[in-house]
Amino acid sequence: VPAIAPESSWLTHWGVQLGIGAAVATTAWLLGARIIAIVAVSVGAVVALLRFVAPAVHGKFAAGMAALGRGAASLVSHAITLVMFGIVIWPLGVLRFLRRRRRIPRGADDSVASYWVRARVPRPALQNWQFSMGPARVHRVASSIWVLVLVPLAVFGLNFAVGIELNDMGHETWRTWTGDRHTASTEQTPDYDALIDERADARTGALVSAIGEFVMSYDGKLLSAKDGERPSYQPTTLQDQPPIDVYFFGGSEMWGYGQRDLHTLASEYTRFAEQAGYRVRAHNYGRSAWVNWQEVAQFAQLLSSGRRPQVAIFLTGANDSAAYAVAKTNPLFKRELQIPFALGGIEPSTADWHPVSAFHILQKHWANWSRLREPAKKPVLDADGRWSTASLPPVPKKFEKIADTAADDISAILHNNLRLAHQLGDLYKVRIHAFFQPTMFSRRIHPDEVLGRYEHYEQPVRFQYRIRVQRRLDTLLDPSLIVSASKALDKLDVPGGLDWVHLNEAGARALAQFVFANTEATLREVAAAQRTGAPTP
Amino acid sequence: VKVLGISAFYHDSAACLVVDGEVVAAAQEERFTRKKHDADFPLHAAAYCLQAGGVGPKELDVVAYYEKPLTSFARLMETYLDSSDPRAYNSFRHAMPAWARQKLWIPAIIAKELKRIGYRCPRVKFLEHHESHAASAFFPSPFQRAAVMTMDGVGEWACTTLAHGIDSTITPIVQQDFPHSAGLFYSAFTYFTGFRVNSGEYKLMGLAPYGEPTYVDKIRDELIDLRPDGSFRLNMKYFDFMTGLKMTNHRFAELFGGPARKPESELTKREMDLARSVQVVLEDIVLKSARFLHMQTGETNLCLAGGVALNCVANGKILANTPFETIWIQPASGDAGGALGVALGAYYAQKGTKRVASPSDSMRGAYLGPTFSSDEVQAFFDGKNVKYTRYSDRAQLAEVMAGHLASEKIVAVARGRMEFGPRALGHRSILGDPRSPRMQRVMNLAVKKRESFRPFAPAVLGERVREYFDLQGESPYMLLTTPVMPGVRKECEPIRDDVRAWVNQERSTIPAVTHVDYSARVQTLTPDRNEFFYDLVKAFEAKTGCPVVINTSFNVRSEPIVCTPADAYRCFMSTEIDVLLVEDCVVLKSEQAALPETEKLDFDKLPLD
Repeated sequence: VPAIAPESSWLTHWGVQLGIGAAVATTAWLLGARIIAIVAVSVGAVVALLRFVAPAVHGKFAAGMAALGRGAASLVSHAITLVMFGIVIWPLGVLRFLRRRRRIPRGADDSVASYWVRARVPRPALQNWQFSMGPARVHRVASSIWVLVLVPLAVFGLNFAVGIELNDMGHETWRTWTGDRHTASTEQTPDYDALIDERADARTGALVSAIGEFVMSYDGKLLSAKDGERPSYQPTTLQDQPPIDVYFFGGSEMWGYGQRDLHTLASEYTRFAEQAGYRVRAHNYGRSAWVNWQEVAQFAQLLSSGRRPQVAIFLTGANDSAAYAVAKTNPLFKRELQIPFALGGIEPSTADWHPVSAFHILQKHWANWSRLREPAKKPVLDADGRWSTASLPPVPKKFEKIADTAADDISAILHNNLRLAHQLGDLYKVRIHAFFQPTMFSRRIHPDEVLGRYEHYEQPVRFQYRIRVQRRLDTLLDPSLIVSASKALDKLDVPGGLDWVHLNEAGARALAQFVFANTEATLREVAAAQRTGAPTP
Repeated sequence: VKVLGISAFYHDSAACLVVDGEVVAAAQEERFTRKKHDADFPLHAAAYCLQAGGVGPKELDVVAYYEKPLTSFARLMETYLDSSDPRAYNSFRHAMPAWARQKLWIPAIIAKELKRIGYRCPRVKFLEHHESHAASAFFPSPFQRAAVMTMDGVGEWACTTLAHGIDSTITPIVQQDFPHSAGLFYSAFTYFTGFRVNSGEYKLMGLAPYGEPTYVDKIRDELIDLRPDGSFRLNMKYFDFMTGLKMTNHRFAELFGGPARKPESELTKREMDLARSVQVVLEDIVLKSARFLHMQTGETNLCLAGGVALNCVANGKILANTPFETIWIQPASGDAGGALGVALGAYYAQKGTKRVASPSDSMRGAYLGPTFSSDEVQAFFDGKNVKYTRYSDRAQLAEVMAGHLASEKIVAVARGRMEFGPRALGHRSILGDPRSPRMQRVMNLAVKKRESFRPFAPAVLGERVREYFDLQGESPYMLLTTPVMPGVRKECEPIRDDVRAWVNQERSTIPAVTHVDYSARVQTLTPDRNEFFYDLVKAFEAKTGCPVVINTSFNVRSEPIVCTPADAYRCFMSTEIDVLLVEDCVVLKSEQAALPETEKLDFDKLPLD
């Protein structure tokens, strides 16, 4: 008899074992469970050593492990077969029984003279297995089995195809938000990779009572923070002038999510002021995901601790429109975004933030069908490089009221918070300026990108929903309390990207220029008062 | 064109090589692995076949598998879907892992396994289970055209098929679908009478003559609706094999007055009567089906295959009670024969192949397995310090062995190519003197270590068969049961109260091979087909005047028939066999030192199969 090769070679056998061990150790190490990784490697080494030193003990160990493996496999097998049988097979069997549609005869039938059956037509699905000498004779299996298998497959397959077709934009701007290494908008930011790395390291926060997560101290090459404050550019000229302390409050736009320390909105503001002859000493208290009430509360805390700027600038943005408004209609959003991230003090993992369940996947697939019903299946860029407004999906009627209510709430809350800030300012002699820039996304963003980002939330959180909120807010906001910065970026000519202010230093500069233009009069008054020794106006 | 046929993953896995339509080699995997009814992939058998055929690693043209697994899987799922019984989960749970792991990936498994023995696997082809059986029955048969009947447990859907074979095509006519299976019906009684399913059916057949057909009416009234054309429906109320783990249920037990007999417990009259009754009903099914098939085809030649075709009592009845004049039964009628059938079927399915039936048949006497040279045997015996005598002259060897037989010695033979199929036909056989009244008891208990009621089969010189047995034609593969001629019989009353005494009655001049109903499962010998075995019996005849010897398989209970000289020597030394012949070396037990206990077969670990 010819030589028969073993089913698995020594190398395969040990390769698999060592491979599994190495995979466990590496995974544990990468997940930060280094003790588990060390234990795994140590156990593996001891077992490997046993094989040579004490083969008998090794044999028992291997047999034990194999038994455990078999037990585990048996449990898994039980679970799978139980689910298959309990959910599919048996209920269908009962249904057939109840409907008297059993197909396999179980006893005598007086209505037929003979029980012999003739040859049958082959089933095309089995053609590749079909190989017959005479007329083919494959039993015709109940069509319900194939309906059971093929219909779901077809639905999912078609859904998948539709999804690919709808999502294939073929444009450079179609980049993921979270994979934010490079987009066209970041090309003008030097050392962008290093900045991202440092940003990831610096994101740990500390919980501050009654306010939320505070920026932890961090000392990086491009990004740093100390005592909850991010360093800003300090003027090198005008040393003969007394400095004007300006506190900046806001969310991630203010903190400078996509900028180096010396190119945040606060730093750029300082530069514009320096060029205009004002020596500003900027204090950047921005913090990712914060909302307006947190900013006002922090302002109050700083004042009560004895800090006293001459000017305080608030930049309210998308967080407020989302967190305040949507929380009323969708508690899930608040739970997911605001509480763990801004208030919980612990950086949530992406999995926590965006829990992807089977339901979510089904929902996403099903959404493809609803998108087919929308007038514009594939939004297109117009001649100006903007996404065609006509191609944007319409807001469902029922969401219009929600959006309007949200805008009413946001304006009311903002007004109340800022009135409080003004009262504090009056009390402590601090000039208050507030700006509203709710459109986190620039104009050249594809609407699906917004949808993609929010698809884990409910359908009301849609691009058009946000646009409606923004438009209504523009009419509701009191210009004496808060200035809309919605059009601040309109004239900016930088390659498109997902979010200019978040990812682009040019965006921060443009917004800083807008803020400076609207606050220069205040700086002038403060500087004049300093020169005359009069109290701050 | 070189075709490798494979049957595997149910029971009795086997491989067969067909080269240009000729069956070159075939073997069952159990003979190599020593696991009875081994169902694993027949790696050793395939390796042997390919080497015996001189097939190079890349010379294999077709690999064919004897069943369509997807269709079988569909049937299985359909069966579960058709059941509303939650207890079906037990069976489902047992069945699914094997399908998920193995049976749905047959082509990949075949390719992987063939690679282990250094062969490239061409595209795998599939034949239906019963088409494989039909092909195994018709293509090697001596008929150019014939009616073909296959009956076994279940294939994909078919349990019984009637077909018409002409030249190189087999055209199916009708079939009987699962669960209404004659094989499963018989197996249900096998289970109920305490024997192992897929293995103990022949014991039930052997037990039948001890009983009376007292349950026939009950079976016909309650269990089966048999039509005049041989088609039937089982009353599934009484059977559990559709979606259960047992063959019968509590209603079946209530019908027959108590629970199933426990294996290896005492056999009672109930079991004997049940065996007889179910045999009567099975014969009725087979005979009616055969007559219907004759009406459909008009043929006078019949080919049989499938597990039920191993019921040699029913086969004998077909020959005696139907219009068929000649009958040819595939010697490997069980699933092992599927490998042979699919290989021949795959060959004849190709365009341009023509079949000319051989006047005898194309099975080469079923001697299709491995053989060992005298030098190899001598080397083995020398290595074991075995005392032996080597005879280079065939006639002298036959003379010596016949002498041992004539002196009531029990002789084991392992000479020539091993048989393919469940029957030992003289190349892996234990032989004895049929004239001895004590021989049946001694061979059952001391040699075979099995139940004493089981009969032994005679091998008889073809030219003298009519003197001893009422047989029309020949029975080269021991698949026909026929009455012992009245002139040989010694009439005596059955002792139904004492089976042991009844077994030991001297019912004929050849009592050891005469069953209690005066029947015998005959093997006829011819010089061209059986060569040395014929010479041996001829020499025995010269010494004693009796042209008959006992021929039983060279194994003990629950052990596969021996394959190699080592297997033969171990079995010889573990039992009461007196003389061993391996090729041309004769070993006498009386001259050997006892085998160490560790090397002997451990009968305590071998349950009755």
